[in-house]
Amino acid sequence: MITDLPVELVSDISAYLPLIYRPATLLSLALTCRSLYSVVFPRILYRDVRLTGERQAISFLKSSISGLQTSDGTNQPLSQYIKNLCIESLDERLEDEPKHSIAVLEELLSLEGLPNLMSLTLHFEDDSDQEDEESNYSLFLSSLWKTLRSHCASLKAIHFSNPEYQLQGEVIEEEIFSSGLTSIRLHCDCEFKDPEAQLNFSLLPQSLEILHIHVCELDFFEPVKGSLFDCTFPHLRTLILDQINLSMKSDLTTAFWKRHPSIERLEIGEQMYGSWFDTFEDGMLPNLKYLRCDPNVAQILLPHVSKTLIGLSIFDTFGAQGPYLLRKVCPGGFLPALKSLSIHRHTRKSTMDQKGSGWSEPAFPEHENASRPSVTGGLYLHQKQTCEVFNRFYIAHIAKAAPQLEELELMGTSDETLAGLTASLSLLSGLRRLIISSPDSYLPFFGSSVEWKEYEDFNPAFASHLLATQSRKYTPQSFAECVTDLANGCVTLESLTFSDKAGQFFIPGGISARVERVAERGVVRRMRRIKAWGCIVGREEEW
Amino acid sequence: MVILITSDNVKYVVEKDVAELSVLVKNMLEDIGPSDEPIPLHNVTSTVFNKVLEYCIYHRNDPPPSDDDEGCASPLHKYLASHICSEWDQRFFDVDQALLFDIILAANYLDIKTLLDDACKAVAHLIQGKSTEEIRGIFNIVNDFTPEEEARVKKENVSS
Repeated sequence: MITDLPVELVSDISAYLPLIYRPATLLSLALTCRSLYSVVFPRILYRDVRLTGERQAISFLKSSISGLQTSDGTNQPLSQYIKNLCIESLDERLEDEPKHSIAVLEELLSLEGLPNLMSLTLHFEDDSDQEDEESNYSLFLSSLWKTLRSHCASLKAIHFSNPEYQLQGEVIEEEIFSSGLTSIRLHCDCEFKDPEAQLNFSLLPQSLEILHIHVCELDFFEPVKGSLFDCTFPHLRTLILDQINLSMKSDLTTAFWKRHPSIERLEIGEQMYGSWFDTFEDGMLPNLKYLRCDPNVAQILLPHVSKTLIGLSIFDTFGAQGPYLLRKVCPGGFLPALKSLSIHRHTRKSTMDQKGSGWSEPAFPEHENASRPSVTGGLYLHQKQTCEVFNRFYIAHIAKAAPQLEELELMGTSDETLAGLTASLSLLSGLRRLIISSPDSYLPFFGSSVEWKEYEDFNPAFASHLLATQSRKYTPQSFAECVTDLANGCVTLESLTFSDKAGQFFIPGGISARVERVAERGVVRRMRRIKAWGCIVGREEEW
Repeated sequence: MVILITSDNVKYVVEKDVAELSVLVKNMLEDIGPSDEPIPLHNVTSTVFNKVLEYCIYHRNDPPPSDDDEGCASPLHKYLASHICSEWDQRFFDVDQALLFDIILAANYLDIKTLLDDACKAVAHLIQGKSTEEIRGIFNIVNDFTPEEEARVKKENVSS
């Protein structure tokens, strides 16, 4: 029985839960019975804490402060168990609360309330009174970083995202870059108005294993202050660069890739122009397991890395470029290790020539058809099938290229019937998570999803008049109906997510549900709304 | 060859490289030196040991787990990077949950790190994202909280 296991083995088990599920799953476990509660509480339950919203954050942090102040030494204050802390505060400042959660966090830190902290993740989206408070906010953060450095000796990872925040280069360099961290993630979406605010990458610690920079208009080639691509990080395993609007020189990048054979995850995100890979050379990226890129980079890398890829995310595809890359560009048209796939497909036609967008697979040979389940509508007919939208043929091509998929994200539109969708998705015999995306500048995946009340926050009204010109065969009237329909048709599905961002992990604007079935592979008994996340394979340590 | 005897007195003759995947057995063999003496495994029954042996034979040629603790790569990362669960492993752990927990206890006692890690991951997979009621259902756990206690525990602990 699980109740017979000693604390350290339950702790081992909990370490294998992805961070995004860990706190909630451990609380579920703790609430099952008294004996498991006594095993899980407090050491395991409070190792990883995620606070959502200013109210919960401030309330938890304040009670931790009072817990410290009233502690008589017999019980360790709960906050001192925390190793991984995430604060997600995307709402407005509270009117009845004079302090920002960051200020309360700093107070707790300075009282030695978080001495064992190893990673701190802050997701903010705080643009209230930006004009007045901007400079204060920077001082605020600067002070927080200083306090972290002097009170958290074990701190290894900082993840700070605030798309509204105007990054202050010097603050970041002094307090974060020079800190000996192994993981730095920054997502600040503002353009630099002041050229002096450029980041000096030569100050980044050599110990870095994870570097994620998502900042508009950042100039990697500012000659005075040091380019990222001149640096060497011997243990670098994750490099994510996004939204950095610049042209890239290939001699620098080629040398950089060759100096960093340890890279396992590489994301060359959107608006990253230039020559990231002119050609593939021997010795480049021998350990690559996760790749996110556009079709041009995919075209160069996939022939060399597709056999070992576990996760692949391709954005900015047109027409049939997705199936083309998977079936034609990957050797053998097969990615044996792939568990996670995300494809973003534009609804409009490209104004430029996009290689593979009009591709269609030659009819599959007879003997291949025989070993495959047949799909409604004659999926494997001896004729070319168009897959220029997310229809059954498109999904069947995915299933043929990557039959082991555990999670699939499709961003674009579909004009497929429910039966066609579920039949083709069922070709993926281990599919557990489906993420369907339609950002506000595109048409919705299903014609009707603009009408869903759960979805109205981010679906613009203008989509409805675009829809009038489209014919859609499957039009679920609510998110719940869509979840039930798809999960009943695709019996391995555990969760369905609607996202407003392609290929992203953190999607606060998304909606998501887990299905509970009457039996394994049985019909849906009920669904439970959960927090939305994008593809999670390979991101088990993030939130 | 090494002779091992389980707690229910079943005798196994096992090739040395397979037996030595257990650090406990390996250390005992080093301690007693060359000998035909059978090694008693007090805490493992033959039912559980059959499974353990099946795992060790299948994985006998795997590279040993590294003890490299440099940097901040967590156990989870190291595990994911070094050991992607194969279909064989998934089938291996598709057993009733009482046996799964016995395998965990045996792997812990015998000190077979990869088996312990894999088995822990299999349990994590079972409970991941599940509600309290679902977990009670999976493990046949009887709720012995009073409704008041349950409400208090929920209220006192943050989670999202």
